[in-house]
Amino acid sequence: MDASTSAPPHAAAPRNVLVIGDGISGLTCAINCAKAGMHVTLASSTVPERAQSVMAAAGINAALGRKDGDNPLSHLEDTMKGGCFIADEQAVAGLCDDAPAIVRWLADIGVPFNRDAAGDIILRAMGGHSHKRTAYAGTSTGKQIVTALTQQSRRYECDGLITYRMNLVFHSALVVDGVVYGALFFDEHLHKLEPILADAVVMATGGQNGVFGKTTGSTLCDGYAAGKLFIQGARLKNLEFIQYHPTTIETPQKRMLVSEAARGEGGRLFYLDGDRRVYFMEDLYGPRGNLMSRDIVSKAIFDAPSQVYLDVTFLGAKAIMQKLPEVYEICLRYGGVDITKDPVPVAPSVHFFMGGFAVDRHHRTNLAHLYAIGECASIYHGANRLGGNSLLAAVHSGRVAAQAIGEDNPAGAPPDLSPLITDATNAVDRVMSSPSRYPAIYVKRDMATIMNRDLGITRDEGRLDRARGDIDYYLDISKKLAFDSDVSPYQAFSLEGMLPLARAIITCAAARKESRGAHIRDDFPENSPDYRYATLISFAEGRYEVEWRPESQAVDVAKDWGER
Amino acid sequence: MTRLAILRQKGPGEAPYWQRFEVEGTPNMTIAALLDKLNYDDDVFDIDGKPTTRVRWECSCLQGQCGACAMVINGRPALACDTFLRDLKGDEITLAPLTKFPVVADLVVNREAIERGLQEAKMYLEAPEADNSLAADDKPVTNDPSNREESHIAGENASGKPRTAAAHNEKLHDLQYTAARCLKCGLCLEICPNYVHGRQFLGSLLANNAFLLHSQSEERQQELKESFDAHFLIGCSKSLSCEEICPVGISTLASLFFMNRRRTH
Ligand SMILES: Cc1cc2nc3c(=O)[nH]c(=O)nc-3n(C[C@H](O)[C@H](O)[C@H](O)COP(=O)(O)OP(=O)(O)OC[C@H]3O[C@@H](n4cnc5c(N)ncnc54)[C@H](O)[C@@H]3O)c2cc1C
Ligand code: SF4
Ligand code: SF4
Ligand code: FES
Ligand code: FES
Repeated sequence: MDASTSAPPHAAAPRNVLVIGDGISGLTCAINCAKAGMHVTLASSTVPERAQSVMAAAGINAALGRKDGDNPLSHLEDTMKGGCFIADEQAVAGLCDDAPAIVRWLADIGVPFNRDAAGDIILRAMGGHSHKRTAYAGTSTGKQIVTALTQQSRRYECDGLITYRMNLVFHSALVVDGVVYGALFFDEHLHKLEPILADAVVMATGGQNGVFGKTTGSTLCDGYAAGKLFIQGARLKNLEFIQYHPTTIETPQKRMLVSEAARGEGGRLFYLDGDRRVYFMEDLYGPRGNLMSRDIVSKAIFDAPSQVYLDVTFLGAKAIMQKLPEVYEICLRYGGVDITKDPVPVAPSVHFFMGGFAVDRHHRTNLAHLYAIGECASIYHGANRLGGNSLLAAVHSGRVAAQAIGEDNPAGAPPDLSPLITDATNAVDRVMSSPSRYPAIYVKRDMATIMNRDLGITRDEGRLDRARGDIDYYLDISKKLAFDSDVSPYQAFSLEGMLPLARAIITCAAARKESRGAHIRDDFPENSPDYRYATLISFAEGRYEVEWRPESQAVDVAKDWGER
Repeated sequence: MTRLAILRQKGPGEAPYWQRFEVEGTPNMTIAALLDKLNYDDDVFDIDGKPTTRVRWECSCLQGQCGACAMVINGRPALACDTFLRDLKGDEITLAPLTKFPVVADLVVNREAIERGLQEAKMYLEAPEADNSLAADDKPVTNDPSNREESHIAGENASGKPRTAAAHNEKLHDLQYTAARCLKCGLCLEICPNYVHGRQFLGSLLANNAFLLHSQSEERQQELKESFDAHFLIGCSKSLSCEEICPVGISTLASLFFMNRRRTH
């Protein structure tokens, strides 16, 4: 259907928006752009049902609990404190102020939040929050939100305002002199590149899991898009802040999350000293110790002298099946432990990335007409994200970006992009015609080994130097090697984004010579006021350049987008 | 050693062929883990030691929550990451792509027809526009909590209103919740004797979606009913094979019952 003919006449200035990624942030942005009359192309490697957003279990935060005196200011304070005071306070204020309206909107579009007898949304406790403020829908909050959002986006598809493109993997941005005019995609089914032009491009590609291999999240979130755009001139931020989820179980292919809800409902962590159970979190932090924020719990588990277990048995089988059915199921099927009878062995795993694209309060990146939202953008979480704040940030950022796009000037007519497209096509053709049987996955596995070894819960200069040396080696040889492209040439060309991203993460971690939130340096254990800034990193002719600025100045559109 | 037979296909429209492998599997491994092992332990050789290409398949969550890895395992449609070797019988495991969708390569199929079908059937929710304002984000941060509370969470029901009366009806709430978990994996279409790619009939997943929307919607009930008739009722012969196969346990029968009950009002 031709969208331009079906757009309502009252629409705002005609704009074509390209949203890349169809998780919760991408869907929200697309819906809000369409609602404002813009035409959206929603392009993603697959359908929303496969996006990592569907895995979010524990819930979404909003200061709705009036009875126990919660309000957005308290939510703001907790978020700033959790983030160790480097996030931009005004941006966080926007997030927390918008939260109650977001939860109400989600309820309006059909998210079946759990409610009490009076019909009020039930709020649960989560680590680092001073009030109960996490709304949830059964054990699959993220999935329920995705379903509700697809029921909205489909409405605009029927109106012709959203054009939905599946099976398109982001290849590169069409960027000339710092202005983005669209993006190139690799069609996984047709095995060829396709350009899509737009007045504004929104990155909604999620976290950077792939750089660490086995994580709690989806294999689709590999960090390639952020890494590629970094090479293309996008500024990234706070990459050293990587959240470990304290409680996961290991399977051959991933680390499976045991929801924080298990501790929220009363679950206790312990290790064995001989036969004696040591409830170390309670010993260290008192009766609410098991509910400390994730960085603290992860570090304590990491420091424990022996295997740590999570115990919920005392809740009783009935309560467990009622309140934690998914935890029960996962532990039984994938871990072989019946949690109604036995404690389950747990360990921390890479779970969430506070770092990502540097954006301003309107989610604009430093490249003109490029926006970034959801987990791939870095803005609200500072040095550490509080549980339940990322689903909130995914929805909020989608709304904010849609509003900004409606108010910003469009990119204007693009210059001749054909040289860019021809170069990229030739490069992909070369990858596809490679006779090599050596899979790029082997390089990715080595990269993951290096990153897990040297960028774990604690870091120091020696290990960071070693990691940098090792990644530099792979950066060097990967340019010379040919790879197997039977499975997909994407496996090979994605190294061009993922390795530089890994290198940038290491560089940020080495530059921050202090401990803050999720970044813990053995050689600099103290928190230092000198580093109460955002770590900004840019790629300048092969160099990885770090710069410190207050978060609120991470992107300065007047300067960055310039007079064009 | 686990013996594997995989129905392979190089690309769309190319001839499929069976290829056999031996992989070291353990009982607690999933089919997804086995495929990873086959592909990336070393270069890939078939059972006769002949070198061959890596096997294509799709995944995302690797824990039964996203529907990416749907395929036919030992003749039965299932999710590869949620099927354990310990539960499979016989001395050979067969893996084949879903048969109701065009093959892209090996075990990857093109399921776009599901999304396009739902769009054609107009499976969307007409939501009220209330409460969807964006709080101004560059408003100065006041330190007066009463201020914030006043301007942003005032109102009769600060905890949000349930969309429908269903929120108070536990059974209906549970059914909605389960229906909303549909993975769009296509397993129900694979097993359905009546689903044919490209036709209007969209099997159990449409019935479940129609039920969900109908139960949430006061605005479009008539339209949704008609769509349900046209895209489901006309084609379904009610064998209910789809019920047993659904990985998240959505009940076609419940959806059908609900839609029919409403119809007689
Ligand atoms: C197990 C788990 C549980 C969680 N639980 C919670 C919780 O309870 N509460 C909470 O607040 N947060 C939770 N989180 C975090 C939260 O789920 C994510 O931060 C959030 O869903 C991110 O949404 P998103 O829209 O940014 O990205 P995603 O949902 O990750 O979507 C990314 C999209 O981009 C696409 N994509 C990626 N790369 C490319 C490419 N190169 N080309 C094209 N498309 C691409 C993907 O296909 C996908 O559609 C959890 C995370 C995990 C892993
Ligand atoms: S109804 Fe069940 S089997 Fe059918 S697509 Fe949805 S989840 Fe899959
Ligand atoms: S009941 Fe039978 S015909 Fe109807 S959708 Fe299910 S499998 Fe198909
Ligand atoms: S990979 Fe998600 S269901 Fe199998
Ligand atoms: S649908 Fe199978 S016998 Fe009727």
